[in-house]
Amino acid sequence: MKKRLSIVASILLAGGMLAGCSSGAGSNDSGGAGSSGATASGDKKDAGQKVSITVWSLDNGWEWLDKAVDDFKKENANIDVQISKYGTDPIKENLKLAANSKTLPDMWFTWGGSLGSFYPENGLTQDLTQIAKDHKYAELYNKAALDMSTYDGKLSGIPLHLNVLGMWYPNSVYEKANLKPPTTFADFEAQLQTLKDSGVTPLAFGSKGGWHTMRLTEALLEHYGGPDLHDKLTSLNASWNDPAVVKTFEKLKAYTDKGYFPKGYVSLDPQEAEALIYQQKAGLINEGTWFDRNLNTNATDAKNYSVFKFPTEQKPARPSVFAEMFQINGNADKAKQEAAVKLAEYVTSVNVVNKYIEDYGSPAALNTKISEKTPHLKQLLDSANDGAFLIMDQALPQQVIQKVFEAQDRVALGEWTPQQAAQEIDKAVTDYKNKKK
Amino acid sequence: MGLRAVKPWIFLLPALVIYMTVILVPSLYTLYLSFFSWNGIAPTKTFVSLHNYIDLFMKDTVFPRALKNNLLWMIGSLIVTLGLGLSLALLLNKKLKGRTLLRGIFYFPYILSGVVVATVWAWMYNPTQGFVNKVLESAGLESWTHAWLAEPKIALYAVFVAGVWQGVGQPMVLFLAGLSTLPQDPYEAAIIDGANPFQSFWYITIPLLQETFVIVIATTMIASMKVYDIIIAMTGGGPAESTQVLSSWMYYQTFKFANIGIGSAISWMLVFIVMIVIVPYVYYTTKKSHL
Repeated sequence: MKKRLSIVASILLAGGMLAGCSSGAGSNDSGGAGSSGATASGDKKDAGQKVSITVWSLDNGWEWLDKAVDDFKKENANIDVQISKYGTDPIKENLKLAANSKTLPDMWFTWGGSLGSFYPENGLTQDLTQIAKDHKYAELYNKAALDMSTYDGKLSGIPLHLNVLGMWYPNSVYEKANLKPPTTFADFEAQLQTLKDSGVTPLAFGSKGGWHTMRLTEALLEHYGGPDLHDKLTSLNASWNDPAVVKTFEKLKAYTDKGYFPKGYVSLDPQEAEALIYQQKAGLINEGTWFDRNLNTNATDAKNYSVFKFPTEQKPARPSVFAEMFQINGNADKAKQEAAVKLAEYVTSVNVVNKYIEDYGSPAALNTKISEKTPHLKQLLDSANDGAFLIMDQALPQQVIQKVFEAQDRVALGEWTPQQAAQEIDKAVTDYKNKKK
Repeated sequence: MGLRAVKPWIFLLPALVIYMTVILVPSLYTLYLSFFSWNGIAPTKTFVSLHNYIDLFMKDTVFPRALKNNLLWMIGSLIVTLGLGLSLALLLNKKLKGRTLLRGIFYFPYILSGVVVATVWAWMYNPTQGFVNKVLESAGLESWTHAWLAEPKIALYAVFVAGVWQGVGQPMVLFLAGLSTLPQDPYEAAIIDGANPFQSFWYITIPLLQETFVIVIATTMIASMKVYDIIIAMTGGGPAESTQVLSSWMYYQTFKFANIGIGSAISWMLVFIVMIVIVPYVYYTTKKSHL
C-alpha cells in the first residue's frame, strides 16, 4: 500500500511540474536571461564607477553591432556592454518572457507597432520624450521612424532602422521570361503566369509563422481596399467582414490553386523560400530594405537583383513600412539608463551608420551615405515618400494577427472560404475589443 | 517523537524544500492565476472565476484541436514508441554481435535536442528537396510524395514520426534494464513444459516486466502531454493551427498574446488530464502487481 502511494505521489509531483511551466513568476527559465548572463536588476556595479549594461539584439546580419559596441567601449571605458542575440521569433518571445519575469535587459531591440507597444503600455520602458527634445532627435532621425517609436505621445525607443518593403526579383529570371517590372496589377498577375510558364516558382513565400505570406496579403488588401479602408481595418475601426478582405483571400486561394507558391508553402520556413530566390528558382519575393545585405551575404550580388513597388493602383501608392528601435528599461537604475541611451544614440548615429553602412541595413538616421553594396536602398526609401502603411503584424494586436495567419493557411488549404476567413477575422477583432473593455 | 522518527524528515528536508519552492508553489500560483484575466505585467488582475476554463471549451477554436492532438500523440506513443522500444529491447537483449554499438545507435537520438531533431526532419520533409520525397521518387513512388508538413491531415503524424525516431531509445533502455533482471528459471521450466517462444514471451516476460511497464507507460504518457519543442520547431503549430498541442498553445496564449490567465488554465488542464489518465492506471497496476 505504502509503495503504491509513493508511486502515485511521484506521478502527482511530475504532474505538478507541468503546471509550473506557465506561471509568470514560476520556474520557467526565460531562455534569454539564461544566455544573457546579468539582468537589469541582477547586475552589481562598482559604486559610481563602471556601469555594466545588457543588450538584446537580433542575430542574423547584425555582426556590425559587435564592432560598433567595441568602438563604443573604447570611447567609454566606464561602460561595459554584454550583448545577447536572438532570431526573429525567439527575440519576440524571449522579451515577453523576460517582461513577465521582470528580467528584461537594460536595452533591447524591438519593432514598432503592437510588437513594441507592449512594453511602454505596461510601463517597462524609459520615456525618452524629454531626452529627444534635449538631444534634438528631430534633426537626427527620420520623422516616420520617430513616429513609429512613439506611443501615447511618448517616445519609447531610439529609432534604429526604417524599413520599406518591395517586390524583389532576380534579373536573370526576369530577362529569361522577357519581363519588366509591372506597372499595373493586371500586369503583375500576367507576369505570375509567365514566370510559371518559364519554369520558376512565381512567388517565393513561406507561411511557417504566418508573417511572410502576410506581406502579400497586406499588399492585396491595399490594392482591393485602398489606403483609407486598409488603415481603418488595421486600426480596428472597420469591419473585416468586408468585400475587399474577401477579394484578398480569394486571390490568395487563386494563386495557391494555380501553383504560384512553392509546393507546401503553408508550412515552409521563410528562409527556405528565400533560398529559392538566391538559387534563382523563383521569380518574386516580398522583402525590405535589408535584403541587399541578405543577397550579398548569400554568395550572390545584390546588383543581380531588382525591386519594384507592388502595383496597388491606389493613390498614394503606399508600400509597407516598419521601424525598428532600441528601447531602454524603465526600471533600470539611472546610471544604466544613461549608459544605455548613450549606447543607443551612438550605434544609431550618422558616423556609425556611415562606417558600417554596407551591413547596417536601412538607417533611421538622417543624412547618411548610401553604400554601393546596397544599390536598392535609396529606391525603396524613396518609394515611401508619398506615404506608407505600417506592416500588418505590427499594426494589428497579436491575437488578431494570429487569426489572419490562420485564415491564410485555411483558405490556401480549402478549409475556409474567403468569406469565412473575413468573418473569422472580424470575430477575432470583436473578441479582442470585448476583452479590452 | 524520538530521533528515529525525526531522522527521515531531516534527510528529506532539503529535497522537500526544493520541491515546494520550484514545483508546488509555482503550480499553486499558476492555479490561482488561472482564475484571473491578466497580461502578466499590469498591477491589477481581474478575477474572472472559471471563465478562462469555460472559454477554452466554448470559445477557443484551437484548444479542442490541441487537446485532441495531445491524446493522439499519447495513443501513438503508447502503441508505436512503446512497441518499438520493447521490440528493440527484446532484439538487443539477445547475444548479437555488436549489440552494444546497436544499443548506442538506437539510444543516440534520445540525447539530441528536440530542436536539432526538428531541423533535421524538417529538411528531410522538404516537399521539393527533401530526402523523403527524393527516396520515394527514386523508387518510382511519385504518387506517395506529399508536402508532409503542409497538409493538415498528415502534418501531425509526420512530426510524430520524427518524435518516435527521437524517443524510442528511452523505453528501449528501460525495457533492457527490466529484461536483464528477469530470472531464467521460469523460461527453463517453460521449455520443459513445451512452451513455444511466443508463449514464453506472453506468459512469462510480459508479466515479469509489469513494474517496468508501469514506469515506461507512465513516463510515456507524461512525455506525450508535455510534447512541445519538436512541434514548435517543425511546424510552429501550423498549418492552420493543425499541429498545435496543449503546451504550444499554452505558450502562445501566455507569452505571445500575454493572456496569463488562459495560459495558466491550459497548464492546469494539462495537469488534470495527466492525473485522470495516469493516477488510476498507476494505482491499479501497482495494486495488481503487489497482490
